[in-house]
Amino acid sequence: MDNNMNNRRNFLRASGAALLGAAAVSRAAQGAVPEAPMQATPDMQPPLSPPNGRPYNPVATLNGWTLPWRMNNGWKEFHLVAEPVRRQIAPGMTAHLWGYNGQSPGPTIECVEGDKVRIFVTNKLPEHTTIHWHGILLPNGMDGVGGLTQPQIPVGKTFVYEFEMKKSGTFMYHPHADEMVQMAMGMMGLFIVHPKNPNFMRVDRDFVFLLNAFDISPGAATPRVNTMLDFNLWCWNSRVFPAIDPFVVRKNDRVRIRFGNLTMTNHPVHMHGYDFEVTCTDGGWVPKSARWPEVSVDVAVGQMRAFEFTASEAGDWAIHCHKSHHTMNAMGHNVPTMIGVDHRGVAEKILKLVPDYMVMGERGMADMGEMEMPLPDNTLPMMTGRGPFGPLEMGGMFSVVKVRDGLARNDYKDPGWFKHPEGTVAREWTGAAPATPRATASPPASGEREVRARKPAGGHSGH
Amino acid sequence: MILPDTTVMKSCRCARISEETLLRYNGMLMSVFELLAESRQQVGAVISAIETQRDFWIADTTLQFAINGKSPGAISTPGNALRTAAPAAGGGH
Repeated sequence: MDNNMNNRRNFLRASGAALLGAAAVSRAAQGAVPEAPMQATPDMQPPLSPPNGRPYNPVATLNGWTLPWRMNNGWKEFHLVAEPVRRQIAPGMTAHLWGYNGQSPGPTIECVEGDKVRIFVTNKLPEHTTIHWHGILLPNGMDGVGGLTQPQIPVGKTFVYEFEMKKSGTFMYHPHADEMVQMAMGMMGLFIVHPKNPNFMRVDRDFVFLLNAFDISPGAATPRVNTMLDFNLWCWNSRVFPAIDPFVVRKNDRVRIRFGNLTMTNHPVHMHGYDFEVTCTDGGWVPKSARWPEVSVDVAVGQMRAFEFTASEAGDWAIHCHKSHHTMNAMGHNVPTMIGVDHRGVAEKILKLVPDYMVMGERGMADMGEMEMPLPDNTLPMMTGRGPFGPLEMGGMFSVVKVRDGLARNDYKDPGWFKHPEGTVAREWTGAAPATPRATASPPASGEREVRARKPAGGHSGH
Repeated sequence: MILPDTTVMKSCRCARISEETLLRYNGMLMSVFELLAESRQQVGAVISAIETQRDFWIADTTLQFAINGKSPGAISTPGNALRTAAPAAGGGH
């Protein structure tokens, strides 16, 4: 063992510490590995304009950042460190995840079609790992499938991946070693390859994020990695509403929103206020003749979608997954429905047993959005957030596209709530209204069992 | 003889479980039925703690009697006391 290390060290010294191929790098050779920048905050960092190499228009990663690189003899060198991280999912909740360079998801890697890219991957996890470069055309041995195309990267070792970017597009990276566990723990990142010609598919604002899901029991911090479908935190870039960054857009900007799905179910992503066209998938750019207008686009598991629109309409436009359970935070999926259940007389009895008891759910669940009740530690309310008109009653995969006049070109700061032009907000009708009688139930046919729903009869006495 | 006060210990642990159950009910993570079941369990645990403590004192009295030959403050003869104490210590739980 020692002998091997010495041999390698001597060999590296002799060869000028040039590191080529997917080979383990000894500690002595770390000097040849580029620095691995770390990120301490879950806040969106401004898009990183390329300081060198081919020019491109950088992307904005929601609640994320782009990994800086160094140029080395015509190679763009990046350094990813796979490690346990603490990610704030939203204020009030921090998860113990695995990620890269201090956060989950890892930093976005950006480069340009034709670039020669060298990515160092250091494994600081308690088990081995690899990285698969999802959608990128590369030599088979760089594909990152543990056991199939390479040995896994052992704990404490650094491997190097090298490939040339054959085409531009929207891609991602994630482990392909103990993959189920490592993705359930939050290991993933975006990989954006810009076109060689910066004017090809040019947009003014280019947002990127990944959809990921965790199952973290109330009061706990580490995801249950064996959950397959019943997750309780539906995230964009390991964040949930109201902590997902808004999409801040200058009016009339051309906007692209790109996302990839690394959860275990599909997500129909729906944006209000506009129709849009999908212009790119992880397979490449979609030809004009193959696009059609949409207002929701489904992204299946392991797919990526990018849609574009011209932000002609100012406002606060909701953008969310259209599965209504995915715009909720931790909730009890087995809690029975209490709508219409008559609590009169019972509530007082329960109060004697459980002094802090409060009737909930008998009129629906909107109370939950308005009330702030004490919850288990490190647990977010099922629905939360406040807008200019009241509680937003949302969670999970929900954010707002904020289209505003007069923003600066690179201004991504939250401009606050939209100021609606006078007379353009839905309002209560105060004029004369026709009588609106309740629908009356027709009597059951003979032999048919009557199902009786108790309807609230005016007021809420007894609660 | 030093023994932990089982009533206090058990009801203390119960209270914490009840508290956490209520927090989960607040978050709509658990239903009112689970809240009631937990409350019932707490009542049951407190009752069983009291019964267990009663059993302990009966057994302790029997033990003291066996060692010392007489029950503290006993009026009856040793033979009588043994016959009445034994079934109480063993029975019914």
